[in-house]
Amino acid sequence: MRRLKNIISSVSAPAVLAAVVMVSACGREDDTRPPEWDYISAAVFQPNCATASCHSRATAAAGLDFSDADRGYTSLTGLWIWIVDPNAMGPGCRPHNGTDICERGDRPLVTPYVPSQSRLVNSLRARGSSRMPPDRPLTEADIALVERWILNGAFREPALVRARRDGGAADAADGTADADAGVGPANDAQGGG
Amino acid sequence: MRKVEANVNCLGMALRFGLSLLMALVAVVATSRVAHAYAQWQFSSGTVRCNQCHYAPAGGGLLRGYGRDANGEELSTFEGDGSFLHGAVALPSWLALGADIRGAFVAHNAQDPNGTKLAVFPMQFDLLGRVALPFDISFQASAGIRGRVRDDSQEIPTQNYQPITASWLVSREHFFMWQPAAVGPYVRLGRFFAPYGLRMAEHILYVRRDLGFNQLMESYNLSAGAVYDAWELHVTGFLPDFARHIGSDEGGVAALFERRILNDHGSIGLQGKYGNGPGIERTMAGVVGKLHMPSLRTMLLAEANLVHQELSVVGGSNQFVGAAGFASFPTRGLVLTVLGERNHQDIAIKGTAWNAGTVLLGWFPYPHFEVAAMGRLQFPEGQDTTQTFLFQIHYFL
Repeated sequence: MRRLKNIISSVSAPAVLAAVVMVSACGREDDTRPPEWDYISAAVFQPNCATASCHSRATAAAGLDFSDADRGYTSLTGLWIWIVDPNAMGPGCRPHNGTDICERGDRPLVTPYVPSQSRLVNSLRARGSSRMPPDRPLTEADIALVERWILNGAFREPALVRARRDGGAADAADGTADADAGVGPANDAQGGG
Repeated sequence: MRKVEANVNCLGMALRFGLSLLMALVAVVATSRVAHAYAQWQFSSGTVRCNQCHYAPAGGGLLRGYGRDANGEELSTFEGDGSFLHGAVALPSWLALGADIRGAFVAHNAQDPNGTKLAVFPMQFDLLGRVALPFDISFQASAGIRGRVRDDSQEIPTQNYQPITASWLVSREHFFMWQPAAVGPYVRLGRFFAPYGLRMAEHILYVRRDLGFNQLMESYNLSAGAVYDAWELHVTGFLPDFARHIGSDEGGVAALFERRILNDHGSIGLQGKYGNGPGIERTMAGVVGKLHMPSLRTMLLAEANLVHQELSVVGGSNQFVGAAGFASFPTRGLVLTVLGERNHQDIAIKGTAWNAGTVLLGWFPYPHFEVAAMGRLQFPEGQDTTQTFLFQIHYFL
């Protein structure tokens, strides 16, 4: 009996492993994941970028912190820098090392509606820029998901929440909220850009 | 005006140079390896419990006298004295000390337009200590230099809306433990990794990196369990790292039960973890197995995990993270480990997986010394292959 239990024990682990791997090998071709920042932050940025020595809250390399959705979104869209400005005056300016510097908005890492002009995408694709993440590139599907989010406007809030807030809950419920909230303006922006 | 443009151009060049340097350094740091445990030694060295060699109940960190003796007499190619300072100083029984020092060379090719990154760098400098206190209580801690190669204030001198909480000093572990004997129940309180999985030394392996056990991501825990020759159980309640804010913001509970099988030639384990953080719930369950075949001087290793994450706003997804392979011991002091790994970020969607193959060759020539080489290929689906070669020299006191 004990021997039988041992045999079952020794066989069951590889069997479970094989079954799980087979399940993992399946999946649908079309990517139905939501192109929303909350999802992208949790599924893509936090595990791949917020590592201890890189864009964790403790290190925030290059000022970028992807440890949670709010901090990550601010990192991608709300950075500011000090620049030299000879006409410095007013709030946000101060002397520094014999010259005057002012606080100005940096070029954000995402350009809403235009993935191809977003520095984030160029880094993820190593397109004229060093690759990010440097240790392990994202999968093509993950990069495409980020691009879809940018194409939809790179909003912080999910389309459903925006639609509800804007009184479009009915549209959101039947699946049109995303198109209403994102794709239309994206086309305008690309056409004008 | 021209002066201003020149300054701005100069600033841009400096930023580009700085960023390139940063990326190279990040690649280096991100591929480093830090001492955790040598899961390969279980069973293959005649031990069934990790805490036969380590003070920690689930292994890793400071070595007991048994572990030091094993390093001196059985695990190294040439025999010597594995005890503290090679036996030059005899410590009292209530005190244990140690240190881990690592240096490494890495070549990393992530199909970057700037080419393969090469670097030589200090990987680790940690001091370790354990003090036995009355009532079967002990305190154990590590203190060391953080594995990074830049000063944050130089890195981001002008914008800092996100305060940096890190410093050069790190303490990966610090905990109190009640444990009357190495075999039996224990309670542990402090910072350490919740016992889970194969617990390999290489934090870059997907079963560590993608399950919340990456470098410096130890959580604050209250852990209780029991360790016997036939089985061990670890149940851990964990909270996020509130001091340094590295790793997930989730708090929850993790459990690992491992039973030795086949006359102590192998083990099978069941594990689970539940974490709840702002806007996210993560539940994982998995199996761990080891099988040592003495006649082949080889041990099979495998771990498989299913992870369900539920986001409060956008719904849920299921992830698979696993590793399987073998460790071979061709001659005394030499360990060859070959692992295949898979991290399928959403198993409902094709093309969202990373696969990897890793070959590790570790040589323990003489007590306290280790020389290791690692070759690793990673295959992100839809992207080019990433190649990594790492060579490291490790000395422990």
